Amino acid sequence: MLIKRPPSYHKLFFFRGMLLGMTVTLKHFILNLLRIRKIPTIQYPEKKRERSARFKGKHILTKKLDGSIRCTSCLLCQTACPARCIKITPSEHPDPKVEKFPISFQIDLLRCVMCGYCEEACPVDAIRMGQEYEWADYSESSFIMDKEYLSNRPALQGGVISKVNS
Amino acid sequence: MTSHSEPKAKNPMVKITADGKVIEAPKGGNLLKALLDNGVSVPHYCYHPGLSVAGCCRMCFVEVEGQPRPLISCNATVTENMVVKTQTETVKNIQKWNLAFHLINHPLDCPICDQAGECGLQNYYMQFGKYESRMEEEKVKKRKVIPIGDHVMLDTERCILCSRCVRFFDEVPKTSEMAIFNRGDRSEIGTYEDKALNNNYTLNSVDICPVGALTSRDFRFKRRVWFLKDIPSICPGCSTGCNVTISQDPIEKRTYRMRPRFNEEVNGYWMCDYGRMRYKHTHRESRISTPLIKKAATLIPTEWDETKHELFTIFKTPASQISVLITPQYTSEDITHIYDFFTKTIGTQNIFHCADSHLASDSTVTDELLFRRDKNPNSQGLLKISAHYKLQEQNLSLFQQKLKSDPWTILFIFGPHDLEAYPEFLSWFKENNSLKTKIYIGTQVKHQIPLFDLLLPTLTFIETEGTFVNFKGLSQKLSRGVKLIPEAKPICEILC
Amino acid sequence: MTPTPKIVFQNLHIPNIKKLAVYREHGGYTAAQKVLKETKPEDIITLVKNSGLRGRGGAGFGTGMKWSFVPKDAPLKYLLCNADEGEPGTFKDRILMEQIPHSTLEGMIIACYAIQCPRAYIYVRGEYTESIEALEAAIQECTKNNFLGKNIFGTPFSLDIHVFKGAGAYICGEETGLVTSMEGAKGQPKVKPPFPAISGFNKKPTVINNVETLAVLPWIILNGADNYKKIGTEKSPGTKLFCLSGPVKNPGTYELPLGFPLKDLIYDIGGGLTGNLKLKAVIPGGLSAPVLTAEETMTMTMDFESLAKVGSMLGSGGVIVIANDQCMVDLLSVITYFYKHESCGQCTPCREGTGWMKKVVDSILHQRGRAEDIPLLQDISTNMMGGRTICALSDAAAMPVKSFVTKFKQEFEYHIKNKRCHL
Repeated sequence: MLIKRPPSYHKLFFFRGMLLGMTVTLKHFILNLLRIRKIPTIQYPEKKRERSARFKGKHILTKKLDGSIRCTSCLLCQTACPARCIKITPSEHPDPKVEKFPISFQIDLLRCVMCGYCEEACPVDAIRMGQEYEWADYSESSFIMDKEYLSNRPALQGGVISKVNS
Repeated sequence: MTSHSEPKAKNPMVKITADGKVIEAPKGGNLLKALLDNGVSVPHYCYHPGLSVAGCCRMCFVEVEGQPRPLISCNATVTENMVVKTQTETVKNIQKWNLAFHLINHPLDCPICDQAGECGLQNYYMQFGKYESRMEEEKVKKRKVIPIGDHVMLDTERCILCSRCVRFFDEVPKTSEMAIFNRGDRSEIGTYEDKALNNNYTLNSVDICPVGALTSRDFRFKRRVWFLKDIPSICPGCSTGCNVTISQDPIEKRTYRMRPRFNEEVNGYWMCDYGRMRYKHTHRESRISTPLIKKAATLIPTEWDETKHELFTIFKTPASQISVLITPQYTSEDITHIYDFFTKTIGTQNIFHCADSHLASDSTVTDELLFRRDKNPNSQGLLKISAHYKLQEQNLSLFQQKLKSDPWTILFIFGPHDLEAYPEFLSWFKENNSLKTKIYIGTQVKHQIPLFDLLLPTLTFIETEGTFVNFKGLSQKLSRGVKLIPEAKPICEILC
Repeated sequence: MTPTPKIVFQNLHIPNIKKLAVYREHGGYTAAQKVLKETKPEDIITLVKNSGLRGRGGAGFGTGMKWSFVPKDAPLKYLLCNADEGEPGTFKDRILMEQIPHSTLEGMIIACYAIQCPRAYIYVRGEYTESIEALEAAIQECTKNNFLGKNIFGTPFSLDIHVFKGAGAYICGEETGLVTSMEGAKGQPKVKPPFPAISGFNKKPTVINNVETLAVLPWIILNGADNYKKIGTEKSPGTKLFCLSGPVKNPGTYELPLGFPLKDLIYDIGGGLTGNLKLKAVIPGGLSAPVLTAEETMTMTMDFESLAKVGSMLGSGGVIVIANDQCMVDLLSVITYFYKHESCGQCTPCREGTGWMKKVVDSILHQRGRAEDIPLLQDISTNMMGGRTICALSDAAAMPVKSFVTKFKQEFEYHIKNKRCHL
């Protein structure tokens, strides 16, 4: 069967369709270039999106007014943790009014699933999920955060005071 | 063992109705005990079946038909056809308010309280209370963190003044060391001038304390109780064979405490402090963690396969040159296996035991309560099994004689898990003798010395299932807990 | 006003009645002699039961009934005379012991003979030094004259009476508290059953009677049960010592028949209130009794039943008059402090409840009150009452609070609302 094809010079006019399609792109290009409307894209490393207060980032251990760690090492966060990433070693505090405090407090960030249960379980607002989320590193061991890092890392700028101070 | 003489089998059983359920109880017996024994839940703090009735916590109110008002069941006696109601609105209201009264001056320091998780106040609050606190005033402050004795820590603020501990020391060890001082809401439990508790039963007060007022200094802050798994077992501390519950953390693979388990025939509700600390020798750090072989006067860790080869060559020596020494700290099943293996498979009769037949059946207690002189849990079992193989005469003194005279070259030692029983254990083998190879099968790291040629780690009483026979000849079962040393092997796997 | 018969106070104003000889001159010890020589012990119990004599200590339990609970065959029994008069507003036993100690002793001889017990103690509160001296002197005299000791009056009955000094705890006035205190333990009540009549002092059957109850006995023996019943009301026969205190012109202890109008006690015998004061309220039976308003007082008669009808009680007969210059919140603060201080600390509702009530009342008094505090006080007091504790101190502590908050609610509300007293 003979199929009737369009004349070959028609091929020269495919640019027309192409340009037609390109107008959409062109429109957006011009609009964005001239900043005529707001762009949702953020220039990530230079600019960072504002996170909500409920954002679950890297954990923080809060402090008492005197600067010591708020955690009473009740182990409720460790109990609530579904990933078993928290390891606390309680110890006797020399001050009988404090009685119990964590001599070591470790969170394994690689195990953590950022569920925030620890924050929920804490009766004294001692552990919070912070705002930091950039924690790429070279070795696994550097993902185990200790007490000092959790409460006093530079990003915390001197630490966070717990809301429960009795 | 119970100081409180409860009417027992003598009293005829009568039928009573509790919440519509017909139950049988001894006539004239304690109503609360009858209800609890039959699974009727009645909240209570001051009542303890092993102690006298104080009736001061006022939690165990029930309604009895025919009585004008609710009464405390701990001070009521069972009468025939009694109709008891524990779930009426009046009773529930009393329970709720009594709990409120208990809690108004309680410090609510559950986060740092070791009792949290097994606390009477917490449990009953979830069960009966669940109200919003209306207490807006300042709480009464009392003294905290007072160590009384080596084992007990006192916190008077958490105390609900149920007086169980006071009655315990009055009635069981009869030392009357604790008392309630002052009166009204200033009442405090304590010892006179905070003197240390000085008897072998102090930790029982921690068990019976329904709240965190008395906590164990040994267990203090070690582990939250909800991580622990309870294993019914037998105390290995002496020949009494107190029934115990061992608490282990299956994830951490560690034992945390031992507490008494009720057995009327053996220990009642109690056990001694000495016995409670016997779990410590099962800790990883005090155990031989891997098979060891002596090479050039030092012990080096080795593989089980290699020890198997070693044992294979040892077993090729003439049977008469092989001797065995067993300490009575293994289960009857293990001891039977040892006897069976050496008499039948190896064919030696040189099997000696360390059980003292006089001490083993000695029923006198050194402290007039539970503790007996024989610090081995299974002397009777070992003696019985040795008698079965007609080797009961081969005891320790004969072993020491023969060690000097007989031409043995191989000695298998089934060493003690608990070194308290045989403090001079090592000195038995230090003398010059004809022995060429000493094979030590045991658990204790203190014995990990080049005196022995081959050390094989085995399991302690917590990790094995089996039987201990106590001084009376009563066989009691041990349940198997979590294996604490992955490399350790049971006797039946070592000797095969 | 008709002259009222005197029973326990019949010899009160005779000089030197403390002396045995004077007491005997006025008919003393005739009842005891008559009983010991002529009457069987059971007959005395029946006689006292018939007289309808009710305990004068506060609870108003039938005396004869109490005695009949004691097992007859027990080898050793005790009679304890409760002279630990701790109820605030009560000072009747003190007068009896200081002025006519022999009447108490005679009553004890009769009671001991009735229950056949060879040994009796008088538990006197430690602050009553004069009572202790008077009693000890009287006992000494009696022993010298064979009124006490072996074979009293030549009969085979022997009796020793000892004085025991209490250390001044309110709770030791409670039967079992008294017993534990005498046993040398911390004075705190014990769970009942067993009741002291079965297992009391030193685990032996023990009868505990109030001083006034015992002092009535000689009169009943001499005059018979029927004559006793003629005095007072039908259900509450006899006379009672009423201790009138507060801003009245003539405060003091008066012996009056039961069923006596409270109004007359205050206005006639007491001579009315001092100055221009007006009656606001009356606590009719010692501090533990629920308060009566002025209106209730006007129609009230002083006997067990009438007071019970309006939810109060006769108690120990300490009538405390409260005038209109008294702030009820302030008064309640004092009352709650007393019970907080005196709670033995055994039972939780009482130990914690008394302290809690004190704190709440104080916060109302010191301008920190909240509107919720009034229902809270009512709830706390309600839940401390009705047999929730071993002894009645919890009820005693709760009843004033409940009655004050209910009957004088407006004063509490004023304090909470205006942060100051209405006076």
